[in-house]
Amino acid sequence: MLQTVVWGKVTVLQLIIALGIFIISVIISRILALYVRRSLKNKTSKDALEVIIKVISYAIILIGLIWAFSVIGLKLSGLLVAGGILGIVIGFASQSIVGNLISGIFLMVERPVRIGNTVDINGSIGIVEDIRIISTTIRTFDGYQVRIPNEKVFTANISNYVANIVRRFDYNVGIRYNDDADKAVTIIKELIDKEAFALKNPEPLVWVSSLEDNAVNINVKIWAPVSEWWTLKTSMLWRIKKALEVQGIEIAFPQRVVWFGDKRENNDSLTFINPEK
Amino acid sequence: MYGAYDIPVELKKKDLSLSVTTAAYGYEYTRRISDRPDFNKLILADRSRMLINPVEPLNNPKHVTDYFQLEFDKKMTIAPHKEKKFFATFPIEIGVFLFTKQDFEPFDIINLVPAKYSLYGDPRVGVLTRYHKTGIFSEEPDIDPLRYGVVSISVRNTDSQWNTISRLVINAYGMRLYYNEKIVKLFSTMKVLNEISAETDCYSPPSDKGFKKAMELYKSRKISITSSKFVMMEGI
Repeated sequence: MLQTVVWGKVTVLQLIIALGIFIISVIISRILALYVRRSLKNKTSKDALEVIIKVISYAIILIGLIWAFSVIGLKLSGLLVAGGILGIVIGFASQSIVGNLISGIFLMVERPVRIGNTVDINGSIGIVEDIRIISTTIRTFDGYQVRIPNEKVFTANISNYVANIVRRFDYNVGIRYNDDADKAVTIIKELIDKEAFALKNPEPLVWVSSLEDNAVNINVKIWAPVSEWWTLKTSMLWRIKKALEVQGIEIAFPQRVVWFGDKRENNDSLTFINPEK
Repeated sequence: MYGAYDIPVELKKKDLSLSVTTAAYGYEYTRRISDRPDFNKLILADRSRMLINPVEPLNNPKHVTDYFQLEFDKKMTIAPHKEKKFFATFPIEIGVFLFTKQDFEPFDIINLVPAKYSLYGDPRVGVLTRYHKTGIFSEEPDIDPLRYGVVSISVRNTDSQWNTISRLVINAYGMRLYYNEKIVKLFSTMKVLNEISAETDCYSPPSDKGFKKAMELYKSRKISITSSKFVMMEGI
């Protein structure tokens, strides 16, 4: 039974041994990956650890595969020669796969993004969950998982929001023309000063940026640690609004003053229409 | 307030009070600070002790950095190859630890001084630091040991030029705090290398008579230490 030839000179026994070698190599790669993960967990960064584990796993599986092929009498060098035209056909067919694979290797070497980074790749904004040999997966903020082929990742414009340890955000606060802008600037600066994660350096900027149709615009620029940036950004604006209102400074809203030409008192100036007059 | 206590216990100093009372399931811990809501936590244990001591001020409102920056209110110019010692203040946090014969755990960390963070260096290569602006003193200043500690800074200019210093950045893993009921102390060195860089470190004093060494948080978290030094490369 075991000596039964199934294909060419390959017997059932050889096939079972080859299959066994391949399965064992997969199991060894898994065990080794687990061991490496445990050993290096606190000694190296998460993304570097993932790369190390992947290189080790793929190398062991590849060795197992070559060994399994040799058991059933297939030699890779022979395959390459014998593949001939078939190889070219497969080559053309797997062009994109090879492209992705090579891009994946370059991504792991150049590391424009790392696992855990918040990034924007071709409009997909989220946290990098994994960088595999063929594709990169991103978990978007609304909970989707987006798989992007590595070739696209490699050639895309990537915005890495956490590449630096600090990040800035801006607000435009529009106050009324009859409010004291200097006082408003002081109130906002005091509020920023009390906030732990609004960084002292780089210094926050608060300044009258423009005189608009309906409001005096105060521009506020605050730097925060990347880990606290979003929390601070989502809370500060309302706190600024409330702090200003406590001091009698209000946020302006669009309004238009209408002057009537028939109420002119002279040619140079127009007078407000006072209904009480 | 600093020291080791058998629980249940009740402690009060100024606007801070801590209590551990007996409850059906073990003990209940309550922290009360005058202008803040009460904080409660349950202790599921039969017998343990509570240690209260100052800890490195890097935990509240959230642990985001391991570095601490002191900015001096006056700039100091130091002569070539000169060594000088002065004192400054730094904020502390109060660590509450529970411990048995087998183990100890950080249980609560209290800050009575509002935290402020700052970047040392530029956004690309700088480090995030807990920031504090301090005066310069020739003698140990008298301050509230529940809020501030006193750091003794030995500055040594190893350069052949005059150099100006305005700040000190310390690696928290090297912060060894010594305390008694009146004062919390830290001993630090600053070796000025040139006009923009210096090497900083903390050290244990030759004599710590009358002082207890504080339980360090990184030690209680079982973090292995590689180095306690920090090289200030982005200005001094």
